[in-house]
Amino acid sequence: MATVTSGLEHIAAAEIGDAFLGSQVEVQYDRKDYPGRVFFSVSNMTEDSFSILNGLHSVEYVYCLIGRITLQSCCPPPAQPTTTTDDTEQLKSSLQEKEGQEKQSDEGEKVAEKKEEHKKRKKAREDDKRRKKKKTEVDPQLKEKALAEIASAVSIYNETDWETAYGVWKSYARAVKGIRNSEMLSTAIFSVSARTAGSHLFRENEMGETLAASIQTLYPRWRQQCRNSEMEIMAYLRNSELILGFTITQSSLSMSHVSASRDLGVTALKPAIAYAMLRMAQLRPGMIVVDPMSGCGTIPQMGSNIWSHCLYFAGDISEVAVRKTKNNEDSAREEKRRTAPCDVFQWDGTLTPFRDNSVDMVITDMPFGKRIGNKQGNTKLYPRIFQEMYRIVREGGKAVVLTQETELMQSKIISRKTWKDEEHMDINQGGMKTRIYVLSKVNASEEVQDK
Amino acid sequence: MRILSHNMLQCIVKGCGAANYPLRLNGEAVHKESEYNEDFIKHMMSKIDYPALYQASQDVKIDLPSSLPEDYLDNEEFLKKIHDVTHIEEGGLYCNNCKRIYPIKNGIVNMLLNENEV
Repeated sequence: MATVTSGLEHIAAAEIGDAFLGSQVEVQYDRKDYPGRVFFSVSNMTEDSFSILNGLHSVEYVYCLIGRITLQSCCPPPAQPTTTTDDTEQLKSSLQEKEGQEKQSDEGEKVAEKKEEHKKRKKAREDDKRRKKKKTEVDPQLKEKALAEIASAVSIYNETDWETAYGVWKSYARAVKGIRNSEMLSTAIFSVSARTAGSHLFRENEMGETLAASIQTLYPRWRQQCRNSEMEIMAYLRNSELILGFTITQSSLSMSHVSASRDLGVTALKPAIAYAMLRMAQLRPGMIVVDPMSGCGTIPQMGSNIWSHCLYFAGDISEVAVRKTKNNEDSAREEKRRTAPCDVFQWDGTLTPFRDNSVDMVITDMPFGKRIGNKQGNTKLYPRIFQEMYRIVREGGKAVVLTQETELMQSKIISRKTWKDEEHMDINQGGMKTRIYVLSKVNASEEVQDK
Repeated sequence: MRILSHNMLQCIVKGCGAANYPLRLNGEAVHKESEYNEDFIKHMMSKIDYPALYQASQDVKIDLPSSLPEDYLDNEEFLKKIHDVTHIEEGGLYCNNCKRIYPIKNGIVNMLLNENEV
């Protein structure tokens, strides 16, 4: 299993499929039930498979699963009807009565009435809080039963399931971290990372502790330690399904391609998202690719590394940003990680030096109006940016943009005369809903046909 | 900036007119090692405006044939030469028409205009 940016599951699935081309690979994802997760199985894992894994751009962490099982007793029983609704109804109607009376009463009384009303409302709120507290208190017997099931889940898998997954973890450690067999201790120090999604009778940490204890019973030679553990066992409980596995990768894969020397700005784009945008652009040899608001250059520089058969231009209005882009370009060259160069410009994104119809593809991360700019400014800026893009992009050319301003895009940018929405994809960017659009330039003749 | 990139650029000063392309080059060509990608160069050459590239190469004293060889797609020697057409790190682009100079410093091309030019 791999964790990915939610919304980009299919991009990751496609990348995994491509990467393991030739070996038998099966990739699955379910955006609704398992957002941000891609499940895949590769037959005949070799050392090469691990270097392929490490080369993935759209994936954060990779886990080797021991198995998935459905549990019976970990979810709370369906809520019983309580008197809550009646109480509030009563309160509401009494308040309404009060309002009715209020109209008739005079000023002085009104103030007193209001005070009383305020008190009543406050009491209602407190009652509500108390009620909520009560709800979270779980029947201890049910909870015990649920945790007992969690504990037993560990031994539901037979020894081979555990040994196979443990074996994969060991060979990854050997291949990537260079740990030799002799250094592999018979007493492995492990930790359990427990995550839950949905409502359960217990907390995440309780589940983790229970699992750790029962793993220790299963493998008496392993030792549990929260910090500095050698291996991490991942437990993910989503509603009633429990997934257990070994954490294979030590750190986020997509971030690992970002050199430590890379100079990042405040709004630096997550590399996995930059990868998705570049992939969606379907770049072909000899294309001219422009990022008119490139910030520290994440998109075009990643592009020039992976799809080195295109000509890339990065530009930004900020001197700090372009200097960072240039530094990144130079350090990449020094570390010999750059296969094709990317030109760096300082320009105004609404006034770029390209000739009309000379660019094949614009790929850019638009200002959201959060960390940079503001919403009001965007309503003026967006039309000007897209007008400029329209001018420089050739007929049949495209623009791939990341934005949070979906309303603005629908109302001001996408139209029958300018840009056609070919494809868009909603993603969850650290809790923020954003969207990648693939827009194609509507050329003049097409528009006439439309009429 | 790669000298190849010069081919797509024009002067952006308001009212510069139709003669805003091609820009002229100033500065010393610096060689930078990069992987030879035949696929890229071939596709690039099919869209490049060769006279403009030739003029740019003359500006910075790079030796290129004065006209595009007919067999350019199969002429490896020529394609490698195009690949080796290198970078300008210090210098500038300038417009022959309105004489506006766009400085190139530390490899960064400055295309920002003054208020009266917009």
